[in-house]
Amino acid sequence: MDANAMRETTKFESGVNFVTRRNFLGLLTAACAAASIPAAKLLGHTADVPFERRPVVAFHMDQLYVDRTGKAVPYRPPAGYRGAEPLAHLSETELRMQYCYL
Amino acid sequence: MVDFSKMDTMKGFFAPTRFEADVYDCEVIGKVPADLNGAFVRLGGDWLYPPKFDDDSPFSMDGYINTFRFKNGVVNYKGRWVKTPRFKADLAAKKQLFGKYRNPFTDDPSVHGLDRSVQNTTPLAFAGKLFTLKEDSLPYEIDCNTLETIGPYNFHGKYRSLTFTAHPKVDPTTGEMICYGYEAEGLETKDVFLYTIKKNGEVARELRFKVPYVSMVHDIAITQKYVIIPIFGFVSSMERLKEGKVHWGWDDTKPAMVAIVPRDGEAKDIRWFKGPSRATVHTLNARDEGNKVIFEAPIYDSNPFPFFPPIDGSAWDPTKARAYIRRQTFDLNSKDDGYTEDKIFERNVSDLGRVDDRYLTQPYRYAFTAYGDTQRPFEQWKAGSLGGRVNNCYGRFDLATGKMNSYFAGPTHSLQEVCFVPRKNGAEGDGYVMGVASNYAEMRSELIIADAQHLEDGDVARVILPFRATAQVHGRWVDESELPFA
Ligand SMILES: [Fe+2]
Repeated sequence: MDANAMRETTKFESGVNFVTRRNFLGLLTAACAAASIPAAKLLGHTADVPFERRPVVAFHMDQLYVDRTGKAVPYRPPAGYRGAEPLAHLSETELRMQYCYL
Repeated sequence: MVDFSKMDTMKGFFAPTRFEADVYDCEVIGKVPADLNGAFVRLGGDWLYPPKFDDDSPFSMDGYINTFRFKNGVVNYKGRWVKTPRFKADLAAKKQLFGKYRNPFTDDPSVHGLDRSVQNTTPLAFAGKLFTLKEDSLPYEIDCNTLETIGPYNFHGKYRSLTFTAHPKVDPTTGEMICYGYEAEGLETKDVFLYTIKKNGEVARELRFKVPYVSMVHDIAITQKYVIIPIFGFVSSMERLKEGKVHWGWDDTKPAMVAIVPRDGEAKDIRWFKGPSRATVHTLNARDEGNKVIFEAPIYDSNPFPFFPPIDGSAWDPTKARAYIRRQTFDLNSKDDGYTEDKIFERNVSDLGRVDDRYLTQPYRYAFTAYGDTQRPFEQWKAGSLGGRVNNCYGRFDLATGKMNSYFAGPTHSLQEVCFVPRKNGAEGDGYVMGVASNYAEMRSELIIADAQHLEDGDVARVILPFRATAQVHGRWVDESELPFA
């Protein structure tokens, strides 16, 4: 993996690739272009009505900005850090071995 | 190299934090009540270095003290490691030198004879000083303003037990502290030294006696006339320690035993009562009613801690690790050693319960504790899943009516131990419920402040920390009149 790709993607031991938001949107846009599908449609902000551009909050250089042309990909806030998830698979015994009081 | 990657439980929200912190004028959602002046002091633990043994108890984590200092509506946060000789030795060696919980035979030989206590259980403000408490050693004095560690404290040489409980009780009518040490003469000794210490810090009384078997004596209750001391199925022995095991194992054949000790009596005056296997780790309150002693506590059916496993080799049973608020009645006129027990509430709760401390030893009405309510929403897609294993509510349990009022922390939160802060000159239960919530979605800790008489209305303020605060064992509110705060 070259240095640029390393900046965008972190490869963990499990083999799961964690893709950054910017990288993901780039990949999605490219894939949609190849399949002639508007990326925005996949992101769920169009219905089956003709595409209508409205101002959106988007990302540029990792900063939020308002794109009044509506050409940019809207920002969707992350659903949360899911901080409890890494322990979800633990049995009651395994969990309480360390956290008798959560 | 420090490496926690092998510890499955040290991930996500629960990953070690290990830093010391100061946050000035913390972010607040809502409005901090103007009548709260003092500090919410928390004590808990984090691993400076991973444990030497995978099956060690989390009670071996290094102590970490932190304060939310309230002054004129502004809250400052400060967190510091408790810098014990053990902490310093580990830091110098750049690794964990100490072995299993209360078992020096598992230590690196280089630390033989060093105080191996980690000071991670309860903060105490008494006689104008701030202490950390851990039941295997003396209290450690802490500077209440800098939170730097001063060192072990023995009340001017008059406190002779080698150990000091994490749960002393202060009699609100006199200001005296009733405290004790068990395994008082050293590891595996049956000795308990029970003390009365005046509010100026002067030791007024010492009573020495022995327990029927060496067991955990984690918490007590007091009435105006008696001290109630439960012991239960955790057992230990020197052989066990030499075999390299953790200090406690669980023996289901051991009866729960409760000593009723006259506060002004001698060892010969102690009555021991016996009951079915239980685990009374923490207490709520007790009182005298004629010749009866009424004692209430969130009591477990059986062993709550898998890291202190059954000695018969059987698996730890999580279905029995449930605590219910129960009342035990000891009739001092009785000729036998039995007592009665009633389950007061059917809901299982956290055993880290509190009352309005101004009512210790007295008839009282309200108990507070955390519990998990699976009927409340939990936003797994934001918080991740713990399979419903969250304490999302604080309850106020009305012992007179059986009614419960509850505070809900939020759909991505789990609550640590509750604390009740009385309003000055208020009636019982008039004041605030306070405690730290873990927000699994925002990966931060939030100090909750709710009106104890209007829990359903939600919190009046949340003090936001922009990080995960070190997990708490116990927290106490300290009014600014109790310590020489700057
Ligand atoms: Fe405790």
